[in-house]
Amino acid sequence: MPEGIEEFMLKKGFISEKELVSIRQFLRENRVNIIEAVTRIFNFAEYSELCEEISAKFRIKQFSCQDKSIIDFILGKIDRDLAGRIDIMDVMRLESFPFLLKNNTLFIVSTVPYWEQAVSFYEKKMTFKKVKYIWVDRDCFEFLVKKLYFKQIKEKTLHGIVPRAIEESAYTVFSSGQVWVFAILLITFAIALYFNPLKTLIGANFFIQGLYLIFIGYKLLLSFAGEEEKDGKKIEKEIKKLKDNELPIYTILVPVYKEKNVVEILLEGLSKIDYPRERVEILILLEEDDTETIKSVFESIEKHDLSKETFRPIVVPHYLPKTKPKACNYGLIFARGKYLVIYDAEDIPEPNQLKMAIATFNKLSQNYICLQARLNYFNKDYNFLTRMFTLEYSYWFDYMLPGLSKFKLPIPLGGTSNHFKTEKLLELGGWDPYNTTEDADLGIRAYMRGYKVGVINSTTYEEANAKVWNWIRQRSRWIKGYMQTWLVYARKPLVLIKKTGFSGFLSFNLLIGGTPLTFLINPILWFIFFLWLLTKTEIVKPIFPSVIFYMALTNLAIGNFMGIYLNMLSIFKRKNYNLIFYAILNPLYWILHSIAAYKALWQLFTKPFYWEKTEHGISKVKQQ
Amino acid sequence: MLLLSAGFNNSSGTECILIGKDKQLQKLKDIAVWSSSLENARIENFSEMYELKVGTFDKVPQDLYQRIKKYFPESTLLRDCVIDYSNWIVKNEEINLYRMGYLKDIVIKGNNPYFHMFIPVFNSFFAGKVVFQLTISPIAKPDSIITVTLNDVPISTFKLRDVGYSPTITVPLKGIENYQFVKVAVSATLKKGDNICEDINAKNLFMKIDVKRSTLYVMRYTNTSNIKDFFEDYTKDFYIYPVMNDEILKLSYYIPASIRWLKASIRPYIPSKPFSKLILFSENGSFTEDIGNGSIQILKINKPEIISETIIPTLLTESVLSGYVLERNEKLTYSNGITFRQLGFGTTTNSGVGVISFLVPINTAMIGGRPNKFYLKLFLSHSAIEEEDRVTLEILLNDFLIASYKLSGEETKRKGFFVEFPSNVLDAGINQLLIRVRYYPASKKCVGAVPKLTVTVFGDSYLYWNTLLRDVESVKEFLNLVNGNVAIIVEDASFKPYVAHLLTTIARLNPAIRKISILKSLSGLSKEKYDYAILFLKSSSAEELTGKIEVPFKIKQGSFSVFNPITYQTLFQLEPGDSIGVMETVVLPSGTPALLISYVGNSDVIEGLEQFNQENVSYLSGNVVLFSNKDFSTLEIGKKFKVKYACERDLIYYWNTYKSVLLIILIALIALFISFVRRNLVKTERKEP
Repeated sequence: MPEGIEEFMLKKGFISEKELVSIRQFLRENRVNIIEAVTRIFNFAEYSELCEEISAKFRIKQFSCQDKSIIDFILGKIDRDLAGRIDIMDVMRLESFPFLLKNNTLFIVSTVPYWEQAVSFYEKKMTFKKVKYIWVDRDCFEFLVKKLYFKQIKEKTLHGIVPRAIEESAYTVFSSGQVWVFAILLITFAIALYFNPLKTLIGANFFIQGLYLIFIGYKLLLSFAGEEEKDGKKIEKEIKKLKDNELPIYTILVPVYKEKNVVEILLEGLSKIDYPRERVEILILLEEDDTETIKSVFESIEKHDLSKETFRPIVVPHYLPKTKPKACNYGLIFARGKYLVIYDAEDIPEPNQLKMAIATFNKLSQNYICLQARLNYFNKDYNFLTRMFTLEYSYWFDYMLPGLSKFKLPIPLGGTSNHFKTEKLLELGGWDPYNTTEDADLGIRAYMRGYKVGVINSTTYEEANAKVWNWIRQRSRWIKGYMQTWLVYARKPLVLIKKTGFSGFLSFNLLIGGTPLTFLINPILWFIFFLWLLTKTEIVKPIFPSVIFYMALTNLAIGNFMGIYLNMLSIFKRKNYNLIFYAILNPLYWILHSIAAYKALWQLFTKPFYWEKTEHGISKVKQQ
Repeated sequence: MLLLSAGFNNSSGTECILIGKDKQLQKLKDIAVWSSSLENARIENFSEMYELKVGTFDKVPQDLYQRIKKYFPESTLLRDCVIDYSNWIVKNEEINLYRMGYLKDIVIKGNNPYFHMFIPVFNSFFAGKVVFQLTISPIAKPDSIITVTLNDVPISTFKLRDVGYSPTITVPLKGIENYQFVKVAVSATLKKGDNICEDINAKNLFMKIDVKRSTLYVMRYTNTSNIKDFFEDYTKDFYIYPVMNDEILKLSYYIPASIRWLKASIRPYIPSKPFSKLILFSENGSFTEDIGNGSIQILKINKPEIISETIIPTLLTESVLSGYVLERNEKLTYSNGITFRQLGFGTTTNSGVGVISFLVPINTAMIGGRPNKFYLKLFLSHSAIEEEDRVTLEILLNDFLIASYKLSGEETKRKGFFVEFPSNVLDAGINQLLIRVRYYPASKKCVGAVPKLTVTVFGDSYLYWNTLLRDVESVKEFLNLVNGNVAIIVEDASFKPYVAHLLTTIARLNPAIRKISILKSLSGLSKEKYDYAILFLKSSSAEELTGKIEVPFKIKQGSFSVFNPITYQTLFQLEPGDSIGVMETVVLPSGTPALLISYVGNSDVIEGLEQFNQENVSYLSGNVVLFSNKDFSTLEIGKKFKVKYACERDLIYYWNTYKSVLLIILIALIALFISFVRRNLVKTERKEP
């Protein structure tokens, strides 16, 4: 084999032996190629100078895809079977794929010619005596990969980076076993109703009231446990200790669909992130059919002269289901960072959030693979709905999630600002594209593998939904996702207990299963309550014998009080005193939840994978 | 007053016993006392000779004859004994304690049980005795003593070892002719241990008086000379004629409400009943006093109010039961108050060691309603209490301890105590206010002569209240509280005997109705004119009325069931075709509280009211009473139970009727749904989307 590129750079003095060791270590954790590492990341050489030297040394020319003939040549002549033998993830890691194997000579298309690491990989995969390269730039390489590896990419985005069984995904809404169980339960209920309607209804009522009571107790417990203030100062010190030239690559995934209104805000927000530009890549995931947003993104990058190395728009080809997790999986294939975070289009993260995530990961044990940042809203004072949304999120991120974290219970991740260790995310297989709360699903999956999810004390500001119908659409998607997630993991309850423990099992059922259930049951109980209150009817009395009556009374009084009280806690914690009055209006907000829950239930049976798009940019208020 | 002579002969047999005879009636008094409890004891007058006889019998029982002979050797058996009531100048009457208003056996606990009662001495009194049937606690020592007193004068004492533990004690009523009433008391000194302190603290020491077997036997003159004596007599039954007359119906209430020392009955006239008292209504007649020769006394009146408004207030005395003669017009000391004397409790003094009790019955009818707030001002005095003795005063209402005070002091003077009663301990009807003094002498005094404590409770102690609540929640409350001007509507003339019976029952409980008006219809019934109403309606009218107003039970033809809405347990079920009487408390559209009496099914069921009595009332704590024959079931409908009428189709009816169809539809829908889910939402292999 001829001399490799690493050896060449050593001999030429671009890097020292010691520096090569550091670079190799860096490359093991970050999926960048060696040329990029030496030039852009570590700045040991000028990219153009190094390329000229390589060109001269290896008598090879670097092609760009602006030259259409090279595309036609490669796509026309490539041995697709040979290329198909390599996994797309290896293709992306080594930034190369085999082109032809002819006369014991392997022709490789790559962004890095003669890279020892790649050659050694191919030697293990196939037999050849000589190796020759077609050297293309990165844009061209990605273009070719998308064309040649479309099938593999599609497969991985839909069925998992690491393929998972059909019943481990929301792809099948119900398993056969679940259908039978539901059928037996429904028929048993109908028969019981036939023989003894009163006792059956009392039993059902007891179950519901008991569930509520437990649910209320569970939420209270979590909230009080999550109330403890973490010492934020310590982590600030850790952040200061981080050196820019030692930071890993950080990938930011920003799935964007029909968001041309917020593109400007998005880019502006992301450009404020406190992280070395050469070590962060922002993959803006665009949908192929969303031409307006694609155009807007490219124009904005051009307009603001943003680094194309940092801001990388990726157009996701059109195929169903067109969901955010599918787009994220697509982005994950092209992600190169050691760490990865997802932001929504309208997100404004606190500038030091990436560093805080790294500092926290460094502090925590290895089995922490994800950190959830807190979410809050920059347009909280826009209208009633945004205020209520703010209250809800403040409580969720300031009390519930820390509570779950404290008790080491499965945490359903929020859809944005989840900081992952990319390697572990790939190991988990990425997101389930059929699940409309792919994040919650991922959180449970991570927990079942023995990984942990933590919470960081950094906030990402989002735009709260300001329109009722838009809110209902978004919330119905979330609730449907919870239903899907519960159905996925409830298929094998024994496995779930074994992997999550009994407390994890209970917590999962209460949080993921109980939340939609309570939203569905609430209107029925409200109807009964108001029917009784307004008409003093005796018709419902028989199904409320004294024990159940007192349970229901406790649920009504304590449940409502608790909802208001917990919201107030978050008000005081975040000093949003102007929202105090709105905490009292919480019961009104729950009505919207119930409407969304019934919409979600309907869609679970009619359009289970349909992604209710949330419209952003409705309120123009920005964080000051 | 008119005495009719008639050929009554309702005694069977021809034998009787002549116990004694004399030219002077008064000389037969002692024999009369003794024989007053024997069948048909009477004194007949034959040509200036007075003969005391008993019977007639088919054949005189030998044991009776021997017993009489033992005491009166000159007595003779008459084989051909002809009954001629016109010769009877004195005859016996028996009135047991039950008839005097003591509905339950009287149990007095403690080592010094004491019971007293007052018996009126009317002009017709010739001789008599009181017989107490007692039961003494079996743990009492045989040397325990029973004492009887007459007007607080000891008559006789008995040791248990002589009379046994179920003694029959007789108190002859002698030398009482000049009294208006006589106080008869029976007490016991029961011992369990060797010293008084042990006896004081002993539990299970008691004396029980059997109210049905303890009886007053009176030999009374048959010839009544005036209207006062017509009512003030030992006769229990009064007869009215014609019974269907609305006006005379009112007497069913007025007379028993006035004669309260015994439970007088007002009955339709029965010609064959000798020595009965008949009140004859005649519109054309006037108030007359005719005296004739015969065994039926007749009072002729032209309007019933003459009894309640004229005769009773002017001629009769009240409170013979209490022994304190209170003038009817004595004014209340307080506008919203009533003294103990007015309640029938005169100033009373008791002495003893251990527990000394005073029982003051409080009838809410005397108050005129259920008070919102209720207070007592109690006056009492006691003999000197030495420092080492422990004496406490306890005030209990219906067995609830309301207040307790420590008594002390060596000076005997009248003391006042103020007590506020919680309103919820006062029942409608008779309440028992118990004033109890516990006297525990120092242990060193336990043996030997123990000084007794004397306590006097004054009759001018009084109860007072702020406002009276007029609303009634139960049938029992209504019957006990109905007062003032009361309207009665009787829609069907055949109901009248039962109306009369109900009015008599109310009168025995509650004498507070001032005036009864018989109305033809509901239209004249205004809240301003009438405080309460009693409606005897036909079921059709009752259905119309209960359909318009909020009532616990709607009168509807057809079957119905009463059930517990929580457990769905059926408590009462009226089968189709059956009938039931209904009595319920309602508030009429005019706002007047009323008692509605009607029926579901056949009107004959109203006859069941004939069996209605004072004892039933104490159990009627619900707002609805369902009755037939002797059964009176009380139900709290609305709050505790619900009624399901056959004519009403509720959810349960539809469920029960169509549940099979519904089940099939439900299962079919479930099957369709499951099939849809299996076809569309269950995937076993991946397909290209």
